[in-house]
Formats: sequence, structure tokens, C-alpha cells
Amino acid sequence: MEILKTGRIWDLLLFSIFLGLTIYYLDRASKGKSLPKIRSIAALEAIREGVGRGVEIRKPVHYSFGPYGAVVSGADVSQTVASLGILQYTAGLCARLGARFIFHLPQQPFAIPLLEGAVDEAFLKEGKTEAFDKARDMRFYGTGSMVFASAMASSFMDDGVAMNVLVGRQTTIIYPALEAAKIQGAINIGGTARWTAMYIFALTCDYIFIGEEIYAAGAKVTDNPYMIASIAAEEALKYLFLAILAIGLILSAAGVNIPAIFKV
Amino acid sequence: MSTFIRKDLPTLLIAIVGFAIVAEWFFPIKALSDFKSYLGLVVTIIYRVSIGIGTVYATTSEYAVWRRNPTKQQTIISGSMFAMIIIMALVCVFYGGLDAGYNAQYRWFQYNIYQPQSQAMYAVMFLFQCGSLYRVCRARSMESTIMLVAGGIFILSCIPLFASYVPGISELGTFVTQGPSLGGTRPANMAAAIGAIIVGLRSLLGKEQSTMETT
Repeated sequence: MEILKTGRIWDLLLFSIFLGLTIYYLDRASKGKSLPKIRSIAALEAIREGVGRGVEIRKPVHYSFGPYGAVVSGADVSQTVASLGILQYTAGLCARLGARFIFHLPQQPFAIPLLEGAVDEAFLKEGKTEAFDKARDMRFYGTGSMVFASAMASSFMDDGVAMNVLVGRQTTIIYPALEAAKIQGAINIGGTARWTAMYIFALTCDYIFIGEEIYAAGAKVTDNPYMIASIAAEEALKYLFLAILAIGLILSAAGVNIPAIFKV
Repeated sequence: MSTFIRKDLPTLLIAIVGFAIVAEWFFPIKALSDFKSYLGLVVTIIYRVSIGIGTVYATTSEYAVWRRNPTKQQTIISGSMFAMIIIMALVCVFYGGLDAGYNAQYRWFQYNIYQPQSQAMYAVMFLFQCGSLYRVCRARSMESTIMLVAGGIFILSCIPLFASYVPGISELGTFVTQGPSLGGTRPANMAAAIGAIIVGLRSLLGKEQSTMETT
């Protein structure tokens, strides 16, 4: 009887390395040992600036995960989790500084309790639960990405927009909303780990979370040592992968059949 | 509610379920496969129930917004809209059943209202994209100049006239997409994938703060 499924030995090895490194850095954090610092992320600084702007010009701050943003299963769930951290940070800043916060809910109704809870939590931390008017400022547009984009654009026209933040699993279909915010003179901040959708942010945003920066930003805003520790593990893994790539290149050039090795 | 119920118990459940699913990927144990299938069923039930709750939630929320209209005129207009949507939804459900995809009333709505609106927004999107190209095609630094030149080469290589009469432009365009562009995309995707795995592990180990009640 086989112990491992066929072809999964390398997967198991990599998973063990991932898990080992993460536990190692989490252990360092729990013992209060020094951890690498996360560099300042321009888009995060800009969120603070945008909320301040909202207070000054008396226009709301808009936040959205995008029409398909709040996936709670599959590979993209990590983007939802990262965006939740940034959502709480933005909502918390709005509560603290007194800016109106408008939250455009994605089309996944099953994620509403999670998202609502995250915003509630942010306002509760600042002791201003009454400052977020859910009936007015938490908006659900049903299914349909184009409906979502046009509803967001309409909201920018009706309520005004000081800053528009769009972070999470994004698709290019959200483009009209970003452009509408730009036309309205808002600070546009966007980010996604989906590389194919990055270009719309490059075209319309003032600040971008480039690719995996959203994960680092999601951890940085919490200011929690365990979250920072996991980012340190991620960095270590990147160096490991770079080394594997370099070794692979050399071996390939030397005529070794690399794919055959990984078919075990 | 105690911290154990609010925080520790869900974290423990997530860890057990998560690691069981991870183990199922590696080890050929029938109990793990059955557990995974069973979880799929549970997720489907939660999904369906949450859609129902979401419908009730959205309706009551809309009703609350309607009641707050500042003027009588706005109350009447938005109330009529709200009533119309509710009537349409009820007609769709009671006439054609719950399966909206094969429901004639829903399809009428889909083909005559929803799709034309979507198509109009698509058109707007592409116009906006073409119009905003000038924002990226500006030579403000060494990097953006290289981007501009590379983009220009690729665009020209896609035009049949240039591809036919300018020698090597087609190959140069292919080089731009299959060389530097692909070379940049792959590491970016790999970094994003590593980041996603770390977020997953952090959640499994109960260290993810964003999804936890902390107050």
C-alpha cells in the first residue's frame, strides 16, 4: 500500500518547508526576538492622506473589494483576507478622523457577514459604532460586474468621492468605476495579486499595491508581530525559490532533464 | 460570549479542517477523502442559506433607506422603484419558479434590460482604456521610456502593414511579449502565489488578525 499519492512527494517537501519556515518565524515573534521590518508602502501612506483629505473637503471615502472581490474559497481567498486588513485600517482611520465611509459590497452575499463584521470591528475599536450608517453607506448591488461598476460610478456622482480604495481579487471590468473616481478628482488607490488585472490600476490609480504587496500591506496595517513574522517567512521563501531557479537554470544548461526529476 | 467561543474554538476548527484537507492532498486515506466531500456539502448548504439571508438583509436595508428620504417626492419616487423591483422579483419567482435561468420573465429582464446595460458599460470601458493610454505612454524616466519604446514596438508589430513591410518588427514584437514581459510576469505571479500560501498558513495556524474579533 502506498503511503503518499503518486507525484506528490515534491509538493509535500515544499509544503513542509513552507510550514517549517512559518512556524520558525512565528516562534521568533512569540519569544520577542527581532524580526525584519516591512518597508513603508506608498499606497498605505496614501490611504491616511486620502482620509485626511476626505475630512477636509467633506467628501466620503469609498472602499470596495470589486464585484467578485470577496471570494471565500479557492486560491484567491488570500486576497480577500489581505483586503480585509486594509479595509479595517481604512474604516478605522475614517472613524478616528471623522470621514464618512462608504463600503460597496461585492456580489457574493455569503461574504456580507464577514465584511460587515470587519467594518463594525474597526469602528468599535475607535469607540464610534454609531458613526457608520450601514443602511445608507453599506451598499449591495446584486450580481453583475457591469451593474457594480455603474453603481459605484453613480455613487461617486451622488455622494462625491475624496478617495476610492479598491483592493482584493479584481477584474478589469471595474475600470469604469476607477475612471469615474478619477474624473471626480478622487485619490485612486488600487491593488490586486491578479497580474492580468494590474494594468487597469496602472492606468487610473495614483497609488498601487503591486501584486503581492497587498499581502504585506494587509499584515503591516495590523502591526501584529505574528503577521510581520509570516511576511518574513514569505521573504525567506522567495530567496529559496530564487536559488531553486538559479540551480535549475544551471542544471538545464548542463543538459539535465529537470521536469523528469519532479515527476516522482 | 467568552473568548473561547468567539476566538479559540473557531480557530481550532479551522486548523483541524484545514490541515485535514491539506493531508487529503498528500495521503491516500479514504476517511480524509470522505471528510473533504462532506465538507463540500456543508459549504453548499451554508452558501444557499446565506443567499437567502442576504436577500432578506438587502431588502430590509433598502426599506430602511427608503424610509429615510428627506422629501415626500423622493419618498414616492424611490418607493415606486422599490415596489417595482419587489413585484418583479415576486413575479419571477411565483410565475417561473426559483430557477431563474429558465424563467421567461427573468430572461426578458436579462435580455432587454441587463444585457444592453452591460454592453453599454463594456463599450464605455474600452473607450476609457483607449483614451487613458496617454497616461502610461509618457517618457518621464528611463524605465517609462523603455516601456514606451517596447509598447510602441509591440503595437506596430500588431499592425499588418508594418508586419509586412518593416523587416524584423514582427519578431521584435514577439520578443517583447515572450521575453521581458513574460520574464517579468512569471516572478510576479510566483511571488503572489507564495504570498497567498503564507496567508493560508497564517490562517491555519490561527495567527491571521483580519478575520478575527479582537475587541
